[in-house]
Amino acid sequence: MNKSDSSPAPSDRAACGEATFSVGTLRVPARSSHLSLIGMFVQWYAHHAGLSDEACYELEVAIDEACTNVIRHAYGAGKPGGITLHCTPLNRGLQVDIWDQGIPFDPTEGGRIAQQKQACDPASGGFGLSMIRQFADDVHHQ
Amino acid sequence: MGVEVKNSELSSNVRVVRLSGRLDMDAAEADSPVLRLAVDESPAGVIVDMEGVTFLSSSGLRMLIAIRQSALAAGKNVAITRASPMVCKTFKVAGLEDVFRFYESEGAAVEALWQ
Repeated sequence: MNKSDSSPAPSDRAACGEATFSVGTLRVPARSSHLSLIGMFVQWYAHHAGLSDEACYELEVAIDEACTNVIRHAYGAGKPGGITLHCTPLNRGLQVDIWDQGIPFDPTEGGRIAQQKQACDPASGGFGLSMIRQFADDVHHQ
Repeated sequence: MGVEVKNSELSSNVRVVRLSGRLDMDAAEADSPVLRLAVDESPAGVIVDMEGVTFLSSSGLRMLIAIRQSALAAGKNVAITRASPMVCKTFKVAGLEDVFRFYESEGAAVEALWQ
Protein backbone atom coordinates (compact mmCIF):
# COMPACT_ATOMS: atom_id res chain seq x y z
CA MET A 1 0.00 0.00 0.00
CA ASN A 2 1.09 3.57 -0.66
CA LYS A 3 0.90 6.78 1.32
CA SER A 4 1.99 10.12 -0.09
CA ASP A 5 2.41 13.66 1.16
CA SER A 6 3.38 17.11 -0.09
CA SER A 7 6.71 17.31 1.76
CA PRO A 8 10.04 17.50 -0.14
CA ALA A 9 11.07 14.24 -1.78
CA PRO A 10 13.97 12.28 -0.20
CA SER A 11 16.13 13.01 -3.25
CA ASP A 12 15.59 16.76 -2.70
CA ARG A 13 16.62 16.45 0.93
CA ALA A 14 19.75 14.51 -0.05
CA ALA A 15 20.70 17.36 -2.36
CA CYS A 16 20.47 19.68 0.65
CA GLY A 17 22.95 17.55 2.57
CA GLU A 18 20.44 15.60 4.69
CA ALA A 19 20.77 11.87 5.30
CA THR A 20 18.79 9.67 2.93
CA PHE A 21 17.64 6.06 3.11
CA SER A 22 16.56 3.27 0.80
CA VAL A 23 14.47 0.11 0.91
CA GLY A 24 14.13 -1.51 4.33
CA THR A 25 12.96 -5.00 5.28
CA LEU A 26 11.55 -6.36 8.53
CA ARG A 27 10.76 -10.04 9.13
CA VAL A 28 8.88 -10.98 12.29
CA PRO A 29 6.83 -13.92 13.56
CA ALA A 30 3.10 -13.41 12.94
CA ARG A 31 2.22 -12.68 16.56
CA SER A 32 0.35 -9.76 18.07
CA SER A 33 3.31 -9.08 20.38
CA HIS A 34 5.28 -7.94 17.29
CA LEU A 35 2.74 -5.32 16.15
CA SER A 36 4.43 -2.57 18.13
CA LEU A 37 7.78 -3.36 16.45
CA ILE A 38 6.05 -3.26 13.05
CA GLY A 39 4.55 0.09 14.03
CA MET A 40 7.96 1.53 14.96
CA PHE A 41 9.47 0.23 11.71
CA VAL A 42 6.76 1.82 9.57
CA GLN A 43 6.80 5.08 11.57
CA TRP A 44 10.55 5.40 11.11
CA TYR A 45 10.33 4.99 7.33
CA ALA A 46 7.24 7.18 7.05
CA HIS A 47 8.93 10.03 8.94
CA HIS A 48 12.09 9.72 6.86
CA ALA A 49 9.99 9.67 3.69
CA GLY A 50 8.79 13.12 4.71
CA LEU A 51 5.21 12.24 5.63
CA SER A 52 3.43 14.53 8.10
CA ASP A 53 2.75 13.30 11.63
CA GLU A 54 -0.89 12.74 10.68
CA ALA A 55 0.01 10.78 7.54
CA CYS A 56 2.54 8.71 9.51
CA TYR A 57 -0.14 7.82 12.04
CA GLU A 58 -2.66 6.93 9.34
CA LEU A 59 -0.15 4.71 7.55
CA GLU A 60 0.78 3.00 10.82
CA VAL A 61 -2.91 2.25 11.46
CA ALA A 62 -3.36 0.88 7.93
CA ILE A 63 -0.30 -1.38 8.25
CA ASP A 64 -1.31 -2.51 11.74
CA GLU A 65 -4.76 -3.46 10.44
CA ALA A 66 -3.29 -5.44 7.54
CA CYS A 67 -0.83 -7.28 9.80
CA THR A 68 -3.54 -7.93 12.39
CA ASN A 69 -5.61 -9.54 9.65
CA VAL A 70 -2.66 -11.72 8.70
CA ILE A 71 -2.20 -12.83 12.32
CA ARG A 72 -5.91 -13.33 12.96
CA HIS A 73 -7.12 -14.75 9.65
CA ALA A 74 -4.26 -15.82 7.36
CA TYR A 75 -2.52 -17.90 10.00
CA GLY A 76 -5.12 -18.23 12.75
CA ALA A 77 -4.65 -18.80 16.44
CA GLY A 78 -1.36 -20.42 17.37
CA LYS A 79 -0.42 -21.31 13.79
CA PRO A 80 3.26 -20.51 13.13
CA GLY A 81 4.23 -18.19 10.30
CA GLY A 82 5.96 -14.97 9.49
CA ILE A 83 5.28 -11.50 8.15
CA THR A 84 7.75 -9.65 5.94
CA LEU A 85 7.48 -5.92 5.35
CA HIS A 86 9.32 -3.94 2.68
CA CYS A 87 9.34 -0.15 2.95
CA THR A 88 10.21 1.61 -0.31
CA PRO A 89 10.57 5.40 -0.44
CA LEU A 90 8.69 6.96 -3.34
CA ASN A 91 9.15 10.41 -4.85
CA ARG A 92 6.74 11.89 -2.30
CA GLY A 93 5.55 9.08 -0.11
CA LEU A 94 6.17 5.53 0.99
CA GLN A 95 5.21 2.12 -0.37
CA VAL A 96 4.84 -0.70 2.14
CA ASP A 97 4.64 -4.30 0.88
CA ILE A 98 3.43 -6.96 3.31
CA TRP A 99 4.11 -10.63 2.60
CA ASP A 100 2.86 -13.73 4.37
CA GLN A 101 2.53 -17.46 3.65
CA GLY A 102 -0.90 -17.90 5.19
CA ILE A 103 -4.31 -18.55 3.70
CA PRO A 104 -4.77 -16.29 0.63
CA PHE A 105 -7.00 -13.27 1.18
CA ASP A 106 -9.98 -12.57 -1.11
CA PRO A 107 -10.78 -8.83 -0.86
CA THR A 108 -14.33 -9.28 -2.20
CA GLU A 109 -15.18 -12.04 0.26
CA GLY A 110 -13.32 -10.21 3.04
CA GLY A 111 -15.35 -7.06 2.40
CA ARG A 112 -18.61 -9.01 2.47
CA ILE A 113 -17.74 -10.66 5.80
CA ALA A 114 -16.68 -7.31 7.26
CA GLN A 115 -20.02 -5.74 6.33
CA GLN A 116 -21.86 -8.67 7.89
CA LYS A 117 -19.91 -8.34 11.13
CA GLN A 118 -20.57 -4.62 11.39
CA ALA A 119 -24.27 -5.11 10.74
CA CYS A 120 -24.75 -8.02 13.16
CA ASP A 121 -22.31 -7.26 15.98
CA PRO A 122 -19.73 -4.44 15.69
CA ALA A 123 -17.81 -5.92 18.64
CA SER A 124 -16.94 -8.89 16.42
CA GLY A 125 -14.96 -6.63 14.08
CA GLY A 126 -15.16 -5.67 10.44
CA PHE A 127 -13.56 -2.21 10.73
CA GLY A 128 -10.03 -3.08 9.66
CA LEU A 129 -10.52 -3.31 5.90
CA SER A 130 -12.34 0.01 5.60
CA MET A 131 -9.71 1.68 7.79
CA ILE A 132 -6.96 0.36 5.51
CA ARG A 133 -8.74 1.73 2.44
CA GLN A 134 -9.39 5.11 4.04
CA PHE A 135 -5.94 5.60 5.56
CA ALA A 136 -3.81 4.41 2.63
CA ASP A 137 -3.80 6.14 -0.77
CA ASP A 138 -3.48 2.95 -2.75
CA VAL A 139 -4.04 -0.70 -1.74
CA HIS A 140 -3.38 -3.84 -3.80
CA HIS A 141 -3.76 -7.53 -2.94
CA GLN A 142 -2.09 -10.42 -4.75
CA MET B 1 0.33 -0.41 26.87
CA GLY B 2 -0.87 0.26 30.38
CA VAL B 3 -4.18 0.14 32.19
CA GLU B 4 -5.02 1.54 35.61
CA VAL B 5 -8.38 1.50 37.39
CA LYS B 6 -9.46 3.79 40.21
CA ASN B 7 -12.63 5.19 41.70
CA SER B 8 -13.76 8.53 40.38
CA GLU B 9 -13.14 11.32 42.89
CA LEU B 10 -16.21 13.09 41.55
CA SER B 11 -18.72 10.24 41.75
CA SER B 12 -18.46 7.18 43.99
CA ASN B 13 -20.60 5.20 41.52
CA VAL B 14 -18.13 5.56 38.67
CA ARG B 15 -14.79 3.87 37.92
CA VAL B 16 -12.08 5.57 35.90
CA VAL B 17 -10.02 3.34 33.59
CA ARG B 18 -6.85 5.07 32.45
CA LEU B 19 -5.36 3.58 29.29
CA SER B 20 -1.94 4.46 27.95
CA GLY B 21 0.41 3.59 25.12
CA ARG B 22 -0.45 1.58 22.05
CA LEU B 23 -3.94 0.09 21.93
CA ASP B 24 -3.52 -2.63 19.30
CA MET B 25 -4.56 -6.32 19.13
CA ASP B 26 -1.97 -7.33 21.72
CA ALA B 27 -2.99 -4.65 24.23
CA ALA B 28 -6.71 -5.13 23.61
CA GLU B 29 -6.45 -8.84 24.45
CA ALA B 30 -4.55 -8.03 27.64
CA ASP B 31 -6.74 -5.11 28.74
CA SER B 32 -10.22 -6.49 27.97
CA PRO B 33 -10.57 -8.47 31.25
CA VAL B 34 -9.53 -5.40 33.27
CA LEU B 35 -12.09 -3.16 31.57
CA ARG B 36 -14.79 -5.79 31.83
CA LEU B 37 -14.15 -6.14 35.57
CA ALA B 38 -14.24 -2.36 35.99
CA VAL B 39 -17.65 -2.24 34.29
CA ASP B 40 -18.94 -5.17 36.38
CA GLU B 41 -17.75 -3.62 39.64
CA SER B 42 -18.94 -0.09 38.92
CA PRO B 43 -22.41 0.75 40.22
CA ALA B 44 -23.12 3.24 37.42
CA GLY B 45 -20.46 2.94 34.72
CA VAL B 46 -16.91 3.77 33.67
CA ILE B 47 -14.93 6.65 32.29
CA VAL B 48 -12.24 5.52 29.85
CA ASP B 49 -9.47 8.11 30.07
CA MET B 50 -7.54 7.94 26.78
CA GLU B 51 -5.17 10.85 27.27
CA GLY B 52 -2.17 8.50 27.32
CA VAL B 53 -3.23 6.44 24.29
CA THR B 54 -0.83 7.09 21.42
CA PHE B 55 -2.26 4.62 18.90
CA LEU B 56 -5.68 3.05 18.42
CA SER B 57 -6.46 0.22 15.99
CA SER B 58 -9.71 -1.58 15.19
CA SER B 59 -8.81 -4.19 17.83
CA GLY B 60 -8.93 -1.44 20.45
CA LEU B 61 -12.22 -0.23 19.00
CA ARG B 62 -13.66 -3.74 19.25
CA MET B 63 -12.68 -3.90 22.90
CA LEU B 64 -14.33 -0.55 23.63
CA ILE B 65 -17.50 -1.53 21.72
CA ALA B 66 -17.75 -4.76 23.72
CA ILE B 67 -17.29 -2.85 26.99
CA ARG B 68 -19.94 -0.35 25.97
CA GLN B 69 -22.35 -3.16 25.06
CA SER B 70 -21.92 -4.94 28.39
CA ALA B 71 -22.30 -1.65 30.29
CA LEU B 72 -25.48 -0.67 28.47
CA ALA B 73 -26.92 -4.16 28.99
CA ALA B 74 -26.42 -3.65 32.73
CA GLY B 75 -27.99 -0.19 32.65
CA LYS B 76 -24.63 1.59 32.99
CA ASN B 77 -22.87 4.29 30.96
CA VAL B 78 -19.45 4.52 29.33
CA ALA B 79 -17.73 7.84 28.66
CA ILE B 80 -14.47 8.47 26.81
CA THR B 81 -12.33 11.38 27.91
CA ARG B 82 -9.27 13.25 26.67
CA ALA B 83 -8.77 11.31 23.43
CA SER B 84 -6.20 12.93 21.11
CA PRO B 85 -7.21 14.19 17.66
CA MET B 86 -5.45 11.20 16.04
CA VAL B 87 -7.27 8.72 18.27
CA CYS B 88 -10.56 10.53 17.61
CA LYS B 89 -9.88 10.15 13.90
CA THR B 90 -9.80 6.36 14.28
CA PHE B 91 -13.27 6.49 15.87
CA LYS B 92 -14.47 8.75 13.06
CA VAL B 93 -13.09 6.64 10.20
CA ALA B 94 -14.79 3.59 11.73
CA GLY B 95 -18.07 5.51 11.88
CA LEU B 96 -18.17 5.40 15.69
CA GLU B 97 -17.91 9.09 16.56
CA ASP B 98 -21.66 9.21 17.29
CA VAL B 99 -21.75 5.85 19.07
CA PHE B 100 -19.48 6.79 21.97
CA ARG B 101 -19.76 9.83 24.23
CA PHE B 102 -16.61 11.94 24.25
CA TYR B 103 -15.74 14.52 26.90
CA GLU B 104 -12.80 16.81 27.56
CA SER B 105 -12.51 15.90 31.24
CA GLU B 106 -13.69 13.55 33.96
CA GLY B 107 -15.71 16.40 35.43
CA ALA B 108 -17.53 17.04 32.18
CA ALA B 109 -18.32 13.33 31.78
CA VAL B 110 -19.62 12.97 35.33
CA GLU B 111 -21.73 16.10 34.99
CA ALA B 112 -23.24 14.92 31.70
CA LEU B 113 -23.89 11.27 32.53
CA TRP B 114 -24.00 10.76 36.28
CA GLN B 115 -25.51 13.88 37.87
